[in-house]
Amino acid sequence: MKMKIRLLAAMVLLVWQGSLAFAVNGTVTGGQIDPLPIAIAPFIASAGAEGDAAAVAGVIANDLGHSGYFKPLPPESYIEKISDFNANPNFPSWQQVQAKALVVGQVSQGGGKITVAFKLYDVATQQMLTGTSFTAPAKVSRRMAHKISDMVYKQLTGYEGYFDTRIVYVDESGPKNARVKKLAIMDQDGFNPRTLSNGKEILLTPRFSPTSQEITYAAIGDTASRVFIYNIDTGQKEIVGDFTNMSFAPRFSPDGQKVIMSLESDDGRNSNIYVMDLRSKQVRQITNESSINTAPCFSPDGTRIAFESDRGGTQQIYVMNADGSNQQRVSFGNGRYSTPVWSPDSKWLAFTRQAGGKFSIGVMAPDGSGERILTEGFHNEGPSWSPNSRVLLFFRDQPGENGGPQLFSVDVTGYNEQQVATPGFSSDPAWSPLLN
Amino acid sequence: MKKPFAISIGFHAAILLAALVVLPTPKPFEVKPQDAIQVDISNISNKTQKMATAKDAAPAVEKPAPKETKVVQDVPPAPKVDDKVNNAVNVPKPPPPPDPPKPEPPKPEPPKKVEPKPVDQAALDSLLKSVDEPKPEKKLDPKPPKDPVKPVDKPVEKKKPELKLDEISALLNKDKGEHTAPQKPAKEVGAPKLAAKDTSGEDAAMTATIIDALTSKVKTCFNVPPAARDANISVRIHFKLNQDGSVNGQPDVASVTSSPIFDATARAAISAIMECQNYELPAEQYNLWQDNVLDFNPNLFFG
Repeated sequence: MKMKIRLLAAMVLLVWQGSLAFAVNGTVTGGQIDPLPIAIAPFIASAGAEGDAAAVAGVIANDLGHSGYFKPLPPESYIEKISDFNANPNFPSWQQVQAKALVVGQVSQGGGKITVAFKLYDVATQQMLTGTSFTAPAKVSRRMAHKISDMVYKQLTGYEGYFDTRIVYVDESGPKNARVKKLAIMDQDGFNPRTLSNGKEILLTPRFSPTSQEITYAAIGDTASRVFIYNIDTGQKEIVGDFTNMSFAPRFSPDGQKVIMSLESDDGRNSNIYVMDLRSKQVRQITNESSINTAPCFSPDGTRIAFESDRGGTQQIYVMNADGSNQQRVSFGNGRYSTPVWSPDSKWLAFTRQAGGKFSIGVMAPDGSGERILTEGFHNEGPSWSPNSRVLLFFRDQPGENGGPQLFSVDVTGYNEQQVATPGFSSDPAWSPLLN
Repeated sequence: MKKPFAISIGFHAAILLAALVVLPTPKPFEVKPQDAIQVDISNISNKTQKMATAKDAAPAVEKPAPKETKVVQDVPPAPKVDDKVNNAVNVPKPPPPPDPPKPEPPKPEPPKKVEPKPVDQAALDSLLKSVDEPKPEKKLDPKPPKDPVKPVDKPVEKKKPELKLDEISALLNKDKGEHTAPQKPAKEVGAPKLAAKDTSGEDAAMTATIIDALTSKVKTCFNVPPAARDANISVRIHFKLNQDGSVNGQPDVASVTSSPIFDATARAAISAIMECQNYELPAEQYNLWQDNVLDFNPNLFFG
């Protein structure tokens, strides 16, 4: 019996291959890379949900448009008005407005909750690509919209989404010589900003935990710099380690169980890299150099560490094994290299380069090859990766009395640079992983 | 020490002086002005664009030569070939055969020399008669005949009109005088049918042209998913076209893997094929483009 089935399968395969033998066989190399024209039809709203429906559609259009990969078409150009969520759209009318993809949706509310449903269509094939519905408290309607954006983005680009995320940063206010720096957090699109600290300490380098809603940062109090962990949900703050010397530049390990940071030497002239296990509180020294070694960052698999060191005379980027062995310099370009950040997909190290009186943000492979500068200017610093490794956040400082830092994002290819709006001056951004 | 040195200097100087005096003055190197040659640079895509958009593309010209060569094999070899036949072979359009070791078998004479014979009406009528004689209803009768012996005879009767139709065709053919056997039916009928392609010569060139036209068009509709731009990915899509250039059904993915990048690329590829229809391809070569497979390699560096 099995033999017969195999024989039949072989014959079917043979026939199919035979049929292909008659076919014209060509290769399409390359193609169009313009932003994909996409129509986000106004979402159908049940009674009382009109505001939420408009907001959700607007958030999706904004997310997709800002990614640089999509061109949301103006709603006023739409010919068809979608009134039945379950009926097939009139695809020729969407083809007529040049839409290649179409998002339709509906929003209903009841019992303090809203339900958002959507469908994504390919206009040319007239097929539904994906769709789902979410029910949640009305106050998180924006998050539902971000989740829809992530699904659309993944379906059409092939990358994981990054819209349902948050950004932690340092909110700066006051005159340039007496800045008040507070820990702040907002949605990735700049909405819902709020501060998490009172501004009594000078906050530096906040970093998200890859596994929990926690942030680690350095804060300079009255005497010295200390590393803290802050829980966003509970508001609790905890000091990391009881060190006599200054600790700074903290970052979580990929599993969220350790914090890697720099500790100043006793004479205050050097610093070395240490790892602290958050459960056992054990501290292990990783580097032992008579130079400044700082800004450590684990590789996503936790086996290697990138850091900056001036052991060669100027700040350069080095990579070593997680136990401190095999330390090798990887940056050899012109200028000083600092703040290496490993991309979540392991492919790149983002860095800040100072050369010729300018600060640049760039990327290079972890072995130092393929270096390219993404943006350059008076003062750009502090790159942070989106969870899908496609976008980098950084801050750009402006010269002059009234100038101050602002947040910007740039695609890993160097295109689509955009400012991320914040209420005031802001620096040191750090991108969260995707929210659950 | 100084003396040999001085002698050497003097000797070399003498040689140089003699060379200046004796050797002729070289002619100045003149570059003669050349006539400009006008060159038309064309590539296959230009050709295919024209081919793809030309609504009244000229029909393909059939080559008589290969046909005749086969025909000759069916005929008993000519005992002798006189000069007349050799001349006839050399004068008309067909190219000379590549050094035949033996005298060429009789070939069709050029049309000028042969006067077209009038259609033999009597023969034609008799053939048509014989075609009409068998009753078509009986042949197409799906019911099994009672007598198991009879069907054996009937197929023989069926074959007769087919053969005679060929002969009718041969009679109607003005070139019948040159042919010693009926032509291949497939080439005579004209309307192309799905058949194994001749991948050499003209068919191969035409196939390449069609592929180029098809891929060029599809590429304009293929919006490369961002993840596929820096990935080494290839997606094979199989699709069929109708004679009017529209897509027959939905294209299907011929290579199956599962990853977000692959899925997005396959979707974009199918979408491009659907969006770009209808394809304007030469109708007379429909057999060459009715069934197609395209590999989508979005990344130029990996392609």
